[in-house]
Amino acid sequence: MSKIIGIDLGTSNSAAAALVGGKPTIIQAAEGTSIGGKSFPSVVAFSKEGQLMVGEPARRQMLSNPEGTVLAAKRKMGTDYKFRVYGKEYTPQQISSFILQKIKRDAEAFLGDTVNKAVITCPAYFNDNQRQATKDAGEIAGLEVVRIINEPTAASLAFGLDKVQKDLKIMVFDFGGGTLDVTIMEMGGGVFEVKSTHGDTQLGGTDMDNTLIDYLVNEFKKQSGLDVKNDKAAMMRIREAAEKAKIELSNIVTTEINLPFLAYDASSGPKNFILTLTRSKLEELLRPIVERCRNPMLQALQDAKLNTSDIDKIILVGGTYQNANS
Amino acid sequence: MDKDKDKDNDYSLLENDVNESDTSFSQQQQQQLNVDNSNENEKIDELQKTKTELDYYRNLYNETLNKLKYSLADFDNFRKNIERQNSLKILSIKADVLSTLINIREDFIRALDTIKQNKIDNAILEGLDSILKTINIFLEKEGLKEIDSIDKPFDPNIHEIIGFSYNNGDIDENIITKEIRKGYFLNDRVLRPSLVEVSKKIVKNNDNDNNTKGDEI
Repeated sequence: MSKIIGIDLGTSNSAAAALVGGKPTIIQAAEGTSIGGKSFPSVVAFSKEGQLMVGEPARRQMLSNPEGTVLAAKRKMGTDYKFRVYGKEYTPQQISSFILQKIKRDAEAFLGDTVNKAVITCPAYFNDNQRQATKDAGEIAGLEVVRIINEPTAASLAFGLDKVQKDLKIMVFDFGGGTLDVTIMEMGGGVFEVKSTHGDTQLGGTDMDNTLIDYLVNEFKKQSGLDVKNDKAAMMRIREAAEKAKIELSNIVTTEINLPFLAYDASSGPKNFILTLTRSKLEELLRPIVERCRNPMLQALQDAKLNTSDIDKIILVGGTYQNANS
Repeated sequence: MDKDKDKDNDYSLLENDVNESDTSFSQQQQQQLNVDNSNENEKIDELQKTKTELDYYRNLYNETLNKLKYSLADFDNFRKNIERQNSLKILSIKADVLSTLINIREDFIRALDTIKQNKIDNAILEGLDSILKTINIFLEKEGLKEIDSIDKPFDPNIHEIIGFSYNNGDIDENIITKEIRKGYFLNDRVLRPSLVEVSKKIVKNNDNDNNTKGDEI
């Protein structure tokens, strides 16, 4: 019997998992963000010659081929919108099916077996049209979609909340790279019911990265007198260092930004950038962003007619939650 | 006369005896036949039972053998999967370590380039170059290879565009003119793509109502 894979068909990134030896295992994307990378960008592109690109290659070329690149097709699912690319029209389902086809290929290569069945997650706020469109995308990709599951329900199942022998009120706080989704659910007898959902489509980990990058650029300017905002190579190094520091400060209280020869001043020579960054400084920088998470949470609680004390469990998901947690 | 009568009686008695004896013999025979028949039936039953049992065990054997074959094939697939996943895991860990080493190597090259701009003892330069050579040999041995970029046509599988260099059409479009960050292969996979600028012709902007970008980004 062929395996059923679980797919997170995301707005910015997508990923998939399967049970391997009874254990949920994330399927490595063939061209992930790194070797052994697990997710890949939900980007589809066509070259002028009609060549299809999905994932990393599609993202890497989008600056030079914006008219041939489709981003965030998920936002148009369930609508009559058509993406027009070099004279051809594509429905959001077709675009999503290209992403799902890639997932199917990656899964087959990873599992060493054919894959014909899938469970796909979708946001709790998706209506019937949007859910049907997601299912259709799967069918176009050659996958029998055995179930469409709400993303917060999938997160709760991953934490084993369906096995808890009592009724629960759950808040799922999903802080991704580009969006924040807060969902309030009730669970009884293993059945989940969404009570309310709220979010911010313009708030995510990218905002945190940009805040930290701005801080580092300013600090370097204070140290060296040089502004590197227009120096692409220097900015690339600062961005990488910022991402690394952000991840490190989730586990340790202090880290060092160490970028030798970051820039060159014609009069005074090369400039190094060495800076100690503490977790408290990072928290101070990120506080305005964390504060922006408050309203969606309060709104979701209000819509569900609940108080904070009514919530039995809070599930934190998405790549950014560790910073928001602080 | 009486004697004769008696004799007759005797004969008749004898005849009776013979008849009786005949009957008893045929009964015995019948009984024997019955016993034989019942034995035979029992044997047939037993044979039938044995045959049924044999069929059952033959089927069981075939089923078990098939199950064993499937289990062995499953195990073989599982073993291959584990091996493949382990090698992917090893590759992923190796990629992480090499990525850090690459950054250190590039810092070293920056330092070396800066030093070369100043007057410095040749022996020191030679020593530093020799260190770089050792690093390069080590990385190459581990399967690392630089991605060629400059003057090559852009390939989204190994390059990433982060900017443009505009020209009047003297260079073909999408040719890499500048490498912002070097890219590397680890064996046959891209460890990190080259970040590049590509050539673009300066042209008059014609009205293009394509809306694949716009609010989507």
